[in-house]
Amino acid sequence: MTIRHFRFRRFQVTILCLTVVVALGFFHAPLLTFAANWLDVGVTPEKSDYVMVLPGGADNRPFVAVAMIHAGLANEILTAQTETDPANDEGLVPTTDVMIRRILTRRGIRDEQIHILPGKSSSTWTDALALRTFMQTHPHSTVAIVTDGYHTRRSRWVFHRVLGPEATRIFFISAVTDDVSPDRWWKSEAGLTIYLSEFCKFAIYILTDKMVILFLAAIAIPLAVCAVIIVGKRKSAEHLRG
Amino acid sequence: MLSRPLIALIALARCALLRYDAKVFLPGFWCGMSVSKVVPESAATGPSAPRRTFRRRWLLSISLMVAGVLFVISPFSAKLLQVAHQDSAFDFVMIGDLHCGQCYREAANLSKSAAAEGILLYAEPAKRLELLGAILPIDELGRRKLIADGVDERAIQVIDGTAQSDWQAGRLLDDWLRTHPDKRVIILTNAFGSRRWSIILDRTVASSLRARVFIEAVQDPRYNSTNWWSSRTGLKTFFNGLFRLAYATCAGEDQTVPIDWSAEKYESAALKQRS
Repeated sequence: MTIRHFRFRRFQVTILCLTVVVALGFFHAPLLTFAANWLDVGVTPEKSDYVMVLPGGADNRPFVAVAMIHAGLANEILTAQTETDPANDEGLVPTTDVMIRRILTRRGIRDEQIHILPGKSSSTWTDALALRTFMQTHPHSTVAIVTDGYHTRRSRWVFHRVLGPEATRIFFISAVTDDVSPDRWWKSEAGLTIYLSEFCKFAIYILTDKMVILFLAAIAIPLAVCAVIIVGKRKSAEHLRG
Repeated sequence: MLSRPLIALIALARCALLRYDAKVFLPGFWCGMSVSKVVPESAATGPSAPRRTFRRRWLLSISLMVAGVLFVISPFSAKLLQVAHQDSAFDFVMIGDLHCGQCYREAANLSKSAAAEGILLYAEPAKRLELLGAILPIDELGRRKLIADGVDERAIQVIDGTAQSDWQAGRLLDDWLRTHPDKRVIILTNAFGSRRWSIILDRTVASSLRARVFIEAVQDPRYNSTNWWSSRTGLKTFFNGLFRLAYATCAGEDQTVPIDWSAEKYESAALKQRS
């Protein structure tokens, strides 16, 4: 490649980068909204045997479960027992499972309709493990899982990994997050924190999965070998010409 | 300090890959000279110019990535988020982060050791769970927690008004400081949120009063600035702190949108959204 060609290519790359930056500036709102909506894979509520409230959002998730029970779409509510944090250890606030039970009973759900799945859950993964144990003892039962909209894609991915073929018996319902809207999440501190964290978490969950690592390795290793062969051939050709 | 050795490491990597003479290159880099000022002779005999530039860019990108990763896991990144210990005298302790369990314990210790004459709390507007009666308001929970920790009830004060955000809490403190001249306040907050609190106070408390307000970064018992990446909670708190600090620095205060917190309305809308 001559210096002239190199400079022309550099000019082309610069123009392309500038175009991309300007386009992102102009279309950032639809792109960011699309990204937020992509995270939400919640479906229309249907009839199921159980509705599971994922711990984490006591402000909104239990109320969706209550609405489903009142609408006759489910009979009983599940939630996972949660690990304590310093605020719980210090006795400042109760644990999330205790809080969820309290909310449900205050909204008219009977005690016998609430099941706390044992297991000291601390993440979506451990929630899925708790549900797997429950589903093993309740074959053929269907479960609607309620979580915040932005959390549904990661949850679905995790639950499908953990439950395997049993995952056909679950579906996800999105709970609306009160102060964060998917069409302007980047304009508020809470929205920015929630969505950026969610994108990071989803990326980490995927990139640390054994199957994904094996899949990427299966693609990357042959590509790397090909690249080494091509570079080696080019070098030897240049050497012969030189 | 880690930054100098890190720069040296990157410089050495560049020297090795570009076949530069490290003895010529490093002193210039060390003294802050730009790379272009030191042109080694060996560079003239290396690969052709476009390829060299291409290789340099690749190396620079990889060096930056490695430096970024090293920086993130170094104690310096955590120090970006937390203020240094301020060894100043104070009269009152204020709980800045009302949901920080260990802040209450720290406040109780300061109060019991007579280092502080009182503890300040602020109230938040009632949300769905408080309206439902499922949980007490956080200021009331905090007050009970302090009393349980042995603090005299008379030493606990709840500042007048309610604050929906930390910015509004800063303004409540500003009002309180005006009515309590000569009183100095130390704010206890989660360590990874302390720098953000400092920015909030700089913008909400009048500059004449700001000198009377200090911040104490309270460490979480599960991790600290040197091992936060080894626990899931530490990672979560660090990145949340980072995003919130970035937002507070760049965008400032959010516009607070009034929300109808009634449980009935939320429930009736919950299923309509999807059907």
